[in-house]
Amino acid sequence: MYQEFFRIGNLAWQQGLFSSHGGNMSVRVGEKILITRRGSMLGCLTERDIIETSLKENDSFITMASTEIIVHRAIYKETTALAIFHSHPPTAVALSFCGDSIVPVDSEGGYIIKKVPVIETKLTVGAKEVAQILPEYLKSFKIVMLKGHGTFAIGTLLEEAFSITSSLEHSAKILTVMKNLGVSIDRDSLW
Amino acid sequence: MKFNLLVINLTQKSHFKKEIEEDLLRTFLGGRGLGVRLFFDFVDESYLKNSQHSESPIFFLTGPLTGSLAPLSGRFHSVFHSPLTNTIFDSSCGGRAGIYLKSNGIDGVAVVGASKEPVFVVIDENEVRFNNADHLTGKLLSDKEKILKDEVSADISTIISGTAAEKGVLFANVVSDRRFFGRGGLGFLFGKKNLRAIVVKKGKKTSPPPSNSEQFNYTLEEIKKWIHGNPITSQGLPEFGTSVLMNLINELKILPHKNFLENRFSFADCISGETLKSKVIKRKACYGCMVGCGRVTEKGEGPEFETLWALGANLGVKNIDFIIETNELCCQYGIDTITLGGSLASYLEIKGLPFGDEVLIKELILQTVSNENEGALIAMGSKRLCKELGKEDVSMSVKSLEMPAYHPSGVYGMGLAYGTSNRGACHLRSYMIAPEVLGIPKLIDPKIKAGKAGLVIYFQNSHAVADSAIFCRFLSLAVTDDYLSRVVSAYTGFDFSTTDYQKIGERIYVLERIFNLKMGFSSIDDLLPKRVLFDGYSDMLKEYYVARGYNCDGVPTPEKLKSLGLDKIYQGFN
Repeated sequence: MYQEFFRIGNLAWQQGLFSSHGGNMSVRVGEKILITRRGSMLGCLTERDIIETSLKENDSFITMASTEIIVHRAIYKETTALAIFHSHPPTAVALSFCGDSIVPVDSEGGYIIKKVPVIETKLTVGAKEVAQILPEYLKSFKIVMLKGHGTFAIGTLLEEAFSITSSLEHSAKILTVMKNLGVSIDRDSLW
Repeated sequence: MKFNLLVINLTQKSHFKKEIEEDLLRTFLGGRGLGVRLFFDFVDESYLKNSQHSESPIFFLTGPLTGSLAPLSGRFHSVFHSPLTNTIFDSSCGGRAGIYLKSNGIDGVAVVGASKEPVFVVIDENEVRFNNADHLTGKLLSDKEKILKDEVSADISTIISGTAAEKGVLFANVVSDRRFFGRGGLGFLFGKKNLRAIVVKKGKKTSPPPSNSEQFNYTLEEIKKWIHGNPITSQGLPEFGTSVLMNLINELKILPHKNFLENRFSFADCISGETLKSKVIKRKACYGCMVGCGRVTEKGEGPEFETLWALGANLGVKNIDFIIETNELCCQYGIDTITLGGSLASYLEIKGLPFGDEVLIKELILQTVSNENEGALIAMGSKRLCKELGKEDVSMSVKSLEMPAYHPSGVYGMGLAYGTSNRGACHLRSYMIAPEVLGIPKLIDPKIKAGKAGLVIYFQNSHAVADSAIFCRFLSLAVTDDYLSRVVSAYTGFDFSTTDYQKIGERIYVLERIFNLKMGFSSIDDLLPKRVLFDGYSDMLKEYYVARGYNCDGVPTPEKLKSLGLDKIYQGFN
């Protein structure tokens, strides 16, 4: 399991989905969560960077867990997710300022993602408001964008949640290039 | 910015107010820093050579932010010459007396001289009254609190010494609204001065507005975001209190057990924050605090993590109810639980008595608070106790102050912080657990030695200025100095850069060192007890001295003194 954290963290960092100390990820194991340590570098994780804590309640290890643990717990409680990947994909974050959803127009994005809701909250980091709102969206969507902050993607495996995020950033780049080319991309999705 | 110091003379039963020069406020802020600086004004060379506890001045000081809307700024500080360590000493307290002093237009109090008979002092906006305190003598804390409320007013804040102080226990402490000026023996000084209590009535004055309200309010909002977003300040401390650390520290094998002979306690979970949670009936917060780490059980307030360790893991006690009970006993009699636990552990080890024997431990505590029988030995603290029994090495202390709940053999930076702490082995001078365990600001290897000195110094300076501003130590777990310096600047109008702000901390730390050197301390006193001394410590210490601008004997160089504006004060006390 730890090896999977190391592998995904490094691949995601190489893709530029977050800055040196940004992002976090977790896996649900029964009533426990394995989550990255607060302030860890996902690109070069070690065993000390994976924190095991309870899914339902706090314990001593809350002092080391990711700032976003409150959101991770809420997602696990409300959805069937077994893995969560949170990152700050720069192009997609830039697009989050342009509307209340991101709708990929490329083929891969259209198949895999379809539509990404953009939600806005007063506080965006480790916030109770996010923990209350986000899980409801993730019941219907595999990835959600917090305006100006980043994405929360869910999956049955870390790799799945990572791949959805990677696809979104890829689609966001295409959307940006199309905008720069002057191609009309006003498109909604019934998804 | 103004700072009104109320000087109370117990010998003459007189008082006067003095306005502190702005230059001192700009260079030492308030709280700990200002107290240390004022100490030099209140004593002369003869005091350093032949100090008398009864004549030793005691300072209670607020900071520039006390009473403001800044979060976690409601504490106040005492500064004194410790009878236990013989060092300069400061102690922070979360009681409301600092807020109440401000409401009377008083920013700090200096207590000088000694009364011939027991006395308690009442302070309000218009007067200072000296009252006979014969009827308080020998009473438990809760009785003293009730008597003072009945006699003075229901809306008061109190600073009270317990019967342990009256009996001459060297590590007697002082209590303000059930929050403690722990460690160092401030209560002992109260006893020597025949001072039973200081009572502060609530006044009507409000804090001045910030110098730059827009900048102040903006920075406060940004600080609140960090507090809310950090799991330690928004979840761990509110839910479990400081004892959230127990299981974590034990898991990492740095929880001292049996007087530091071992580094893990098999029953740590029995005395952990998770276990304590089931005993807690409500939380308690200091003024203006959004964290609320205080615990209240049916027996009383507390215990804190350090007490759960000192009277639990270190003594082999796994019964949390027993620790809750003995914690309340220490509160009622007024003694410091860390030094008590350390001294008891030394005593048990030397005498070959069993650890974990609750009946024996309780009996020894009762003898200690009474300063009678075997308790008379323990009441001197572990250093003197061990020396008396011919086993000085058994005392787990630095500069006669007992080490707290982190075993230095597993966290080398914390070890260096203990050794170089100006008030003796203390975790709060440079909380190296932050980077070595909690990953604040980033996680570092706890067993790396090279480069640690710089980090220890950074935290020493940062904490010193935070104790002067005044911010609770827990704020530094979520918020960095660049925010704190901006808040202080916006409120005071002093316009500090972050570097200016940290420089204040360095000035305070070096000034404290100067006091200790004048009292005869040297580099020998920066060593750890042999039991916990690890290979390479002396190299870390050398690196520390160089980085601090000290010579190889641990004395600040003339260049360093001059750069901090401390050269004249150093020469003045030669």
